[in-house]
Amino acid sequence: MQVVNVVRRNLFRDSIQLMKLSEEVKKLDGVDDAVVSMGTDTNRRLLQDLRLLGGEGKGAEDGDLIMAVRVRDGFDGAELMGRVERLVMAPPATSGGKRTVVLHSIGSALDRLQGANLAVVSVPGKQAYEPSMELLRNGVNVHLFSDHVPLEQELKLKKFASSRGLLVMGPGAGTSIIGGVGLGFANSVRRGEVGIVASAGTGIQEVSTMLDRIGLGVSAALGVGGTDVSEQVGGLMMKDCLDLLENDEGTKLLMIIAKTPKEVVIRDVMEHVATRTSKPVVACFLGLDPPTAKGGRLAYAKTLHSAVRKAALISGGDAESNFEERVSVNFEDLAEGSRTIASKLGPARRYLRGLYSGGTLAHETLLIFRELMGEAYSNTPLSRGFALEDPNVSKGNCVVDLGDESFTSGRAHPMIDPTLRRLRISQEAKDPKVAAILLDVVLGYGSSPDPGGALQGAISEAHKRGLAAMAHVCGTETDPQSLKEQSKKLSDSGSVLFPSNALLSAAAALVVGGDGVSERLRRKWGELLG
Amino acid sequence: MARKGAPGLIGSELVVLNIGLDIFRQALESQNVKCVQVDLTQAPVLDKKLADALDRLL
Repeated sequence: MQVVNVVRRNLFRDSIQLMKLSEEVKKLDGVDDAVVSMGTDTNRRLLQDLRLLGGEGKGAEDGDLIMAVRVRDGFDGAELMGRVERLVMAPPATSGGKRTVVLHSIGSALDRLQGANLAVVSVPGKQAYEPSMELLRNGVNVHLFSDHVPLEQELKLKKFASSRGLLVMGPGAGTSIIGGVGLGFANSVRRGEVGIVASAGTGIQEVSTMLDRIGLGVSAALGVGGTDVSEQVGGLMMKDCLDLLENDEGTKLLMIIAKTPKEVVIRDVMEHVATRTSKPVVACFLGLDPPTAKGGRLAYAKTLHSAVRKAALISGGDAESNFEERVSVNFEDLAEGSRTIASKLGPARRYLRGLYSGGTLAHETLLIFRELMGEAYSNTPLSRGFALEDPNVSKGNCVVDLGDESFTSGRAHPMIDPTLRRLRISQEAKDPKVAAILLDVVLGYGSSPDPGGALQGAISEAHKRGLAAMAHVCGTETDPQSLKEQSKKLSDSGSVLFPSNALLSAAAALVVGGDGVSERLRRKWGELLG
Repeated sequence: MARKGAPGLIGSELVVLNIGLDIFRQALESQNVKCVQVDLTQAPVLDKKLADALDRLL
């Protein structure tokens, strides 16, 4: 079979369009395999791994588009590439046969959509400021999914919004839930009385889905973006969102979730909480030791699992017993389960490899590993000494955030496109020292329609090679992918499932850690999982 | 009825402009949210008046 690459210089298609185009090209008669992608390092490496990289593709650059096809024997490569190119150059297809009206200016969109009160903005970060400011000037709140918006622009947008009583959620806000509607990557969760403010996208997803499982619902979950809790921005939008939820009659309990916040910012936010709010608060600052709790209405949690348990305790009713029944596992049972997994592993298998799609969940796992068995290597490490030299090559105990920029430049996020993670599972499975692969499978709006199914083959293959696969599904039964269906697919492929990411991480540490880890976990059980 | 400003956001119906990835428009429509798709990437090749005129014709 012949591999043909055609490169079009300076031709841009967004990562979702490219993923769909790749699927369409694969269906063409005569195509054995195909990828249409931008020419970034990550994508060229992926093409190499898939044996799809040819001469012209090797010379492609970030802004170039590569059409890479493996042509079946007996087909004319040049003729086939002509068809591929026509597909790529055609205007985007409409969905479901229904014509989608696409407008080209904010002014005309506001004219057409009377009463618009929110915009979801996901243009490249460097182009996000102007449209966001125009929206704010027109009184429209902004959920800014885009990453890499310059900090001074973020600050200008947020100050302007704050002065007008508007919200700028983001930049880099992966998830929000407002009025029961999921924005960005969000799950279908029941409505209720818990209001969440978070600078951690998958943190919202993990907490809101666990709340849903124990019968608690969300009044609103407002993602403010990771840089909101930087010193420069000072938690400006986090404080505005807390004010909003304090004044919302439907919100009875506040939850604050932050990933690696600046201590000075958190002190300020908690001062704000103390002086400006009156509702009970559960706060989880991943990677920052909690300040001393001053009042009876304030509870700190070290993990997302623990934060939900504290919310259950405060909420009362059935939530506490539901938590015990549907989420919680006791130490003895977790240790026993881990011993069973460990007993099936060969003696040379001693390392853990976390392959994550959610940045907050990857971070939580790194923190739990550090507590129980020492720091793990990562492309997003807790400290510089544990940075992977090459994010594509694991080392020792290792947690890889596949949603980090080093992997997503020019391609879709792993929650949308599972290709990179599937290949990475196969890569890790070939390492005879790997004991277990850890996976987060995140469901919800915007995510892959079948993430479990997409990983099944690679997990089964790893399982046959003698590795353990351990996973947590972050989702609900009413998510488009269905928690039950996805869990079944993962179980059928040999994965052991855990009801929270914190439990998954602790169990994995027990699998490779022996008595020392077991003793440490027993001592820290209350703060990590209680 | 949608109300302007952040306080109106929590308690009222969402009416959304989706600017960028079409996958988010699809997710909003699947949740029965009133929304329109805005694509600003073609803006540089069109005069603003012309873009607005074209949008009115759509």
